[in-house]
Amino acid sequence: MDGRSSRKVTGHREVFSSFTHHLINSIGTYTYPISFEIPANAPATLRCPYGTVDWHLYATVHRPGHFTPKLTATREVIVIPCPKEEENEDTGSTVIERLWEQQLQYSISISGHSFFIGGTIPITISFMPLSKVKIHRFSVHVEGMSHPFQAYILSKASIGQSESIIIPKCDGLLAQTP
Amino acid sequence: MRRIARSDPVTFIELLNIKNKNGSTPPYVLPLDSNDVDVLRNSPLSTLLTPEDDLSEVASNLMGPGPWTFNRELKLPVSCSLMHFTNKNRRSNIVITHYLRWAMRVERGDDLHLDPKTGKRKFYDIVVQHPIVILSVSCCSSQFSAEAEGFP
Repeated sequence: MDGRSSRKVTGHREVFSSFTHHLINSIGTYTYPISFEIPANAPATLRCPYGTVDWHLYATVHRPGHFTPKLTATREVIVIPCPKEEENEDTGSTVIERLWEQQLQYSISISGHSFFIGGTIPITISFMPLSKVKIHRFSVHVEGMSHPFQAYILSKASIGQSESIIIPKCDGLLAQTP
Repeated sequence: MRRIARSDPVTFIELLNIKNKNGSTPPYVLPLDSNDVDVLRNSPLSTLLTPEDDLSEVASNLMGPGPWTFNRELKLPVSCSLMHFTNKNRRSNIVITHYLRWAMRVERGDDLHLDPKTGKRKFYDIVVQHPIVILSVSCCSSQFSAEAEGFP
């Protein structure tokens, strides 16, 4: 399984190939339970105008014989950033109270800190005029800023390098249907 | 040491905008200042009302000395193509932050600060920014199950 940002990383293959060598010895359908542990600090799938993070699952089957080609398959997977449980349960509200020039006291109350795309933001706006102040307009926006980082400088020597980040873990033979 | 290569233009997604049309009288939205019985119905503040609100009661409150309170659930865009989720993982080399930006334009109630050219009262813009976290639509439990079903 690969995560690609500005560098290329590839998965580890040794465990998988050595395991199959001893088990496939007769005709039948073999099913192996393979699980991948995605590191907790792995970046999620992201597509921005000036950079993307894509994840691809690569599977390779090595077959004996010098001229026997390998069987390969590739599939794109989506890595979803899941919030921590305490972030989900954190439903406290934020209250901002200000006094402007002894003219107007205002408060903004926002329920929650994290919101889903397509969800709602509960907000309470309160104005307490202390003089004959007039409000001409008010608005609420979500302001988004993205900062691409220049983390790696591509050079001729660094293009071919790879990094193993995930080791496939095989729990054993799950089913065999001869 | 990582450094910011570039900063993309700041994206603004409007959730709420209350203002009068150009040339309308009076130019301000609060307090309500009219003898018309349908002043609130014709005001941009009508978008903040719920069907349960009594128009005459709310209008009399907004004509009074305050406080003027509005409750609203602001709808975020549904499509992920309009906005990204907040990402603070620097391993992705793209950091995305979000702020809830609340702004209002006010006019003083006294004549302490007047515009020397026009002699009118100055306008002041008050801006409050609060950091929020936007989560991916895939994190929602119903959406997550739908996504998971797509994977064999």
